[in-house]
Amino acid sequence: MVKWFGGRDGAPTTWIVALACLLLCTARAPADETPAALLESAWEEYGFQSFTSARKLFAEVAESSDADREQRLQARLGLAFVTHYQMPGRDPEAAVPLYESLLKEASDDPEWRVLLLARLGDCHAEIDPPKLESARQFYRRAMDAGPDTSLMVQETVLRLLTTYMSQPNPEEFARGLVAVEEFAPRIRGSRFESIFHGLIAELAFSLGDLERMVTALDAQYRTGINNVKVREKVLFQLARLHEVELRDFAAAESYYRRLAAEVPSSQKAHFARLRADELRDGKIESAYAPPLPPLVRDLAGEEGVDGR
Amino acid sequence: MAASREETGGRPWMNYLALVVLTFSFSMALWKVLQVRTQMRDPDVAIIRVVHWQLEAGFREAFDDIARRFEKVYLEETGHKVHIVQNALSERVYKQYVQTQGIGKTLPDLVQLGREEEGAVPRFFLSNTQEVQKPNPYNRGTDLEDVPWMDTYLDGMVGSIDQRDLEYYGAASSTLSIRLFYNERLLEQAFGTREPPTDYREFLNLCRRFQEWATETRRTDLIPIAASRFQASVFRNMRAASLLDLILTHDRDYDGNFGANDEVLLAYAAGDFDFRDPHIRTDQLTVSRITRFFSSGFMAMDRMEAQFRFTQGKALFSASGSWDAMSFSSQVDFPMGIIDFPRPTRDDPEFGRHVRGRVSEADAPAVFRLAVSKFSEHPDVALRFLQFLTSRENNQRFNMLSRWPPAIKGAEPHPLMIPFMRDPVGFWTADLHRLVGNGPCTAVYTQANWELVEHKIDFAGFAEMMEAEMPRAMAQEFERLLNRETEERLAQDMSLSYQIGVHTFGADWGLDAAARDRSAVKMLYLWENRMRQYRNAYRLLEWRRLLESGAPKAAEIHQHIKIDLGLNRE
Repeated sequence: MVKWFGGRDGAPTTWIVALACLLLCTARAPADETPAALLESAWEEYGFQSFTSARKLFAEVAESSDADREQRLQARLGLAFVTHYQMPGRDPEAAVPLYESLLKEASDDPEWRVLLLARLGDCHAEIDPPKLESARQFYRRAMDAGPDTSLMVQETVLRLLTTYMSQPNPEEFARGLVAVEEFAPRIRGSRFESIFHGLIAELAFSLGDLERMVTALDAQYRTGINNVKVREKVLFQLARLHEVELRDFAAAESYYRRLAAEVPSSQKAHFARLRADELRDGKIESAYAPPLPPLVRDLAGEEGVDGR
Repeated sequence: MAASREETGGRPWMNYLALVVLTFSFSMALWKVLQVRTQMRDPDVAIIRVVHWQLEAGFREAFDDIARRFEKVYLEETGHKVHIVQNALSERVYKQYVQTQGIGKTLPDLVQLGREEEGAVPRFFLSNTQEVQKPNPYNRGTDLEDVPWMDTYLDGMVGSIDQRDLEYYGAASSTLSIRLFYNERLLEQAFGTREPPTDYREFLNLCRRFQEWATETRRTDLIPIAASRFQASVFRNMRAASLLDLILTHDRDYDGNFGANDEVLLAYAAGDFDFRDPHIRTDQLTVSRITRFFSSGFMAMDRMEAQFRFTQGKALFSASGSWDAMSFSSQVDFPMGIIDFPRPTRDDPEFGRHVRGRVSEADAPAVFRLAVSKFSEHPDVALRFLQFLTSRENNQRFNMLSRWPPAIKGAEPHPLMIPFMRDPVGFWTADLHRLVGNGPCTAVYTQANWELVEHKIDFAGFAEMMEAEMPRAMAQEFERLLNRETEERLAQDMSLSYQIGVHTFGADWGLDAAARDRSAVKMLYLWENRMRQYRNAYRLLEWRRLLESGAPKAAEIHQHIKIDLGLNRE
């Protein structure tokens, strides 16, 4: 006994062993959560916008010796996301070096490259003042880093397109409409094709090119709209644009009928039915809508006649 | 003092009786508590606790009826016992209750949604997106047997979608609408008929004649319409679709919406419309013509006070929602009728020129939405109860008993609720006085509108007030609108980044392909909403054009803009 606890020879060792045992008993049981489970919790907290908890969990994995390289990279990406996106306090400028450092380490993986280059594009588009040309270059590099079938590549096409919608400058809108021709083949048949056409419609609207807007809205509708509110809006736009701007009453009637049939819970469904019936019967002057305004081209023609 | 000593000293047994009553009551209460605790701890019974804020007469009894029926059916189906316990809380504390219980992870199994903090739904509740796409098993044997649960709803269950998370949460059981209540006995006494007018002008005329009759018969306690500040807002449902022409004329992007958006600013600043517009006059005066028949000082009156006046038989009409129908019906001692508002029609001599029809109720919301909490010990049973509650048969029974309008297609309403059933026929209207919600424009409008409905000013005075204050208010709302679009897009960026994380790394945490695919679908939904949140550049471009064109209103508004719009930056 003396030798174990008080003896000159064994004392230090004995005390260390005893303390270690005590520590083992009192210390919290080692976390039974694996790095994968911690990452899942971290992403879940991130999804709930509990950024403090998410950051803590991501940091735990990033520094964990149990985590493999992929898991540590994922945790570091999570930390970069928190820096970039947390609200309030988002800081895209501070996220840039975090993404760049990850890009250096994960440059051999195409999926990582697409993801990181696209996020760098986001940062350059968001900082004040925005660096749109740099953002576009990053987005283009991201698109070239992966196959067109990649969801991340397809989503990056949309982000690139939106850079042409951020300046109050008609030339930018026009450049956007030129650029879409280049991207169209890459997104054709993809999940995001409908969104792509929707963004073209927005660009055309901003530019006042209503014919192009109609074509894009029609493509958006035909490639599938999930959100019933968006479908309601697009069908109403198509009906009204065909009626008021293009004077294609047969097409207008058809879109009004689609609206009434596809979105019966719309407040506009009743009007759509009435107007479709009027158009079918050749009633251009509606009992339910204001008179059609004169077309811009007709006004121009009148001015020409007057001028002569 | 002496007398009181005499009193107590004279009847000492009273004290003992009080003590016995007290002891008995306490013992009963204790026994009840113990009984509940024993029941709650019974391992053979699944307890489903439900919390909601519906304290209206008959609602809890109806809920209890359905709960007891479910307990029987569940026992027959599974051989397991279930007990549904409801807890109705006051609306005042409900929001705090849900938030604190959610944070403490002690939320009951089923919770009524609609009063929670923003973002609380995905955090505290289980999504039922997968289930709503499958048929409701309790519709078996009906024509809804193969219909997805969501499509059995009158509103397609749109109201159950969480706008942040884009998942379905919970299921609603009822709908609501606002109607006009009337006292048949008074109507008969005054006019010899039990049928109220359905025409707007006849209604105004009848209210005027009722005032005269009350004066002639010296029944000065009677008023045509029982109303308070609350009812003044409720009577806004009386407006017809008289703004439709204005909406369609100035709807720049042809989506049918003009009001509560930038189009109002651009049209107003360009001088395309102002608040003297005859369509706005019709819209405003439709209500202010009615308020002449409210009791004097109605703005200072409490909502309950006004309703009390009606149920006491002192008013010919009152207006309220379907939720009050049963309370009214049980409180009145006279035959009560309910009708839709007599709105101005196209034949109206004063307003008809601008009226296109009534306002449609096609998008009336489904209410009493219960969702399964993440902390439920029996989420499957809770979900099954929701399916039971919202089968056509049970939804009809529940709403028949509670006297609320049903939410499921084909469910018959209680006769009292027939006038409350949604009428999808009609058009739409809009708030033409604002760009964003609850901003300075709304404050200006509210002030001018109160002055108008109190008849302190006429419509010209209303228009003058609006025209004087709107440039400053619109400038502030323009700033907010620009900021809001950016903020909302950034918030969506955050949600998109989360879905990117789930889609890219979900497999590492054991998520199956279907779950990862759902994250891709959510990205799609987010982008569908996001598409129209790139309008700031267009707005600023149009604003610059307006200023360059020398539009006087635009210049006036621009003077009040405090932030740098960056119009000179390219």
